[in-house]
Amino acid sequence: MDLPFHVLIISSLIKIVVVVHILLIGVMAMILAERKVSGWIQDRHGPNRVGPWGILQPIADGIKFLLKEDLVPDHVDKPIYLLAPAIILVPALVTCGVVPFGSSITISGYEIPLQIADINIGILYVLAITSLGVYGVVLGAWASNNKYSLLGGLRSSAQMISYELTLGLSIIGVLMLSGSLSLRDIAIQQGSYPWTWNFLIHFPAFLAFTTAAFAETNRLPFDLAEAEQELVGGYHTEYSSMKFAMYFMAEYMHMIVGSAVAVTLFLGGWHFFGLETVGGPFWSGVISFGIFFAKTAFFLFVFIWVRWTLPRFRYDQLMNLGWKFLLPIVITTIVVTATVWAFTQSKVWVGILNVVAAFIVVAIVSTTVVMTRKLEPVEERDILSFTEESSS
Amino acid sequence: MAEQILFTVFGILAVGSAICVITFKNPIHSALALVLTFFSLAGLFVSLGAYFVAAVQVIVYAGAIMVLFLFVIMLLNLGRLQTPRQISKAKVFAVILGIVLAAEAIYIGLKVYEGTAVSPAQRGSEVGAVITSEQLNQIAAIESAYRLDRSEINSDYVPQITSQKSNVDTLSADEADRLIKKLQGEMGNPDRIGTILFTKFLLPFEVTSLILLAALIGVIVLVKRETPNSAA
Amino acid sequence: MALQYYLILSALLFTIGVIGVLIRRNAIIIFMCIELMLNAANLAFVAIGRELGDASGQIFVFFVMTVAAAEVAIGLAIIVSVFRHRETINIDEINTMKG
Repeated sequence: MDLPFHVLIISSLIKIVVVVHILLIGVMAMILAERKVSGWIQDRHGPNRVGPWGILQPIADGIKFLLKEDLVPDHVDKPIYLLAPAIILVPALVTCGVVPFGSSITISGYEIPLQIADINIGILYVLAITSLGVYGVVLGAWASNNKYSLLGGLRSSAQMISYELTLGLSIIGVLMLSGSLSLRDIAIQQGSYPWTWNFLIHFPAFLAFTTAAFAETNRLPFDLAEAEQELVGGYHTEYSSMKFAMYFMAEYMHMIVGSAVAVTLFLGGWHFFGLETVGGPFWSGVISFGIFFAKTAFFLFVFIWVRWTLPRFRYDQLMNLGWKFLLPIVITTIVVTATVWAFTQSKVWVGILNVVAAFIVVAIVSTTVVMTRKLEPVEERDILSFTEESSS
Repeated sequence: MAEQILFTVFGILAVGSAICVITFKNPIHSALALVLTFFSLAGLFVSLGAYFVAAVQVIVYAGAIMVLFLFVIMLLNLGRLQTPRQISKAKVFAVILGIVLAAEAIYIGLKVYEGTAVSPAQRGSEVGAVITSEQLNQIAAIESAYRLDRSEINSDYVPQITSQKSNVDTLSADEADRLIKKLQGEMGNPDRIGTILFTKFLLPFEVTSLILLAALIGVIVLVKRETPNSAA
Repeated sequence: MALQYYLILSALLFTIGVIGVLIRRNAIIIFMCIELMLNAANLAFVAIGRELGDASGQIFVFFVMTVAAAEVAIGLAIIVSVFRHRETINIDEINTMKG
């Protein structure tokens, strides 16, 4: 593990360059995949004019973005308006610094781990950086000096704070059983076979994590911050050309990084039926990277699938889901995991009782919600309207 | 060396952005400058080896508290409430008072430091020399704090210091320095923090949860709107 | 890096916070300055904790953060409800309780 200094520097630089490029190319692939899959789901062709099967479509899109006029409206708060698109891209890029995307490759005697930095607070680092993602949206929204943008920003900040809690708490069960905050350790201790991976042991937490990840990326069904039909474009209404493209790319980058983290935490990282140990010290590393890549791609497909399947939530539904269902579920999961593990030391029982407890929580909460439901749904205007009310 | 660089960069950033917080006219700009200050403080925590605290600093302050500030500023649309800047006598007086306070605090800090702690020059000067009893105690304290695991939770620090004196005696100043560095580096590890937090500081930990609960209830009571049918 | 540099930095940040509280009239900015002062204290805690080889310094930072979080929630709620009633958060105008 202890590499000489020059090997460390060179290998780290190569890894950084490769990972950033994979991310950028991944964004292009995702744009194409999104349109192709949506076409497939809606029984139409999708893009098929640029290049064979339309695979050059993302490049055409990129050129279009670059050539469009870069408008800066008069009424914006200029420094923040220009800074916001950069602020939203950076968290997505720096998060992948701690994600282990493979076991390790041995080149001329040096064993190089396929991870840019294995820090001992790995998952906390991920949480810390993700929590900054909201700034790009909120600042862009505020700096645009536009009612629709501001509404989008307010929605987004409330949504992200709410779902961040779920995101953070859903990981705690995993951390308790793996006894480490390092993403690499968590991936390693899950073992090779799907039935030992964390998503079975912490199934409710896994579902909550996935849902929260959807909400954090502002994707449909949680895209209230941009909701075209209500808010024109939400926080990026006033952005054009490359600055809009940066928001666009950031959304996909957040998806890719979120999927990679989910795969590491819940889907066994680079493990798959012992396949990752096939081949020599070099090829096993390459295969492990391939497995990780495939798992992440599958997760990304689920992202797209959900987007084109589910309709958008109403604002009160969004808040109800976050605070009344997901949060109680993950808190129960923590308690159940800790208790069962303390008494039985058996992951099987943890897995079974977690699901049972989650069912009980959902039953209790839905009964309570139905019984105490007000006749009129709470609307966003009720939440945001008190300034006008106080003046009347 | 790395620590010097981190300290210089983040120190200047922290002071600069803190000054921006109190000078910017627009509350949103102030809030952003404060985010930057918190970031630089996280950087300083990293340079101090407190990685866990640094991560929590970013999560709690930059990720939660400042978003709340921004949310309130945006919700109340406070950006339009910019007061024209005027320099009154009171402000000049406040700044002078502040400078005096700073000078005083720095002076006291330096005095106290000179009086009690072991200076680095003294610590690393004579290679191979017998280390002073102060250093010995320091090392032993770090050692015992580091070895605080399940079996030693309830024992006090003092007996360990005496028991470990014999084998620490033979360390040269160089080795001792290295040991201190190593133990200080491991001091910020989450497992160490967790062990201490849930043993020695268990009661305060539980009390903070009560504080949070009280805050939760307080906030709900404060901002709950009186609706006509709930008034009865 | 010796302790005194951290203590000086901490003192500077604290003082900036104090000056901010004294010269600004906007309640939210005053509130932010209080956060700044708490953070300056946190820095001193961690620095001294490292010098003494005691992780308690870092534990204290956690408690400060918890209390700060609770305080921010309550404080912002107060500011919001004051704004609802008075349409201002300039502390010179919120002086009804002045004798």
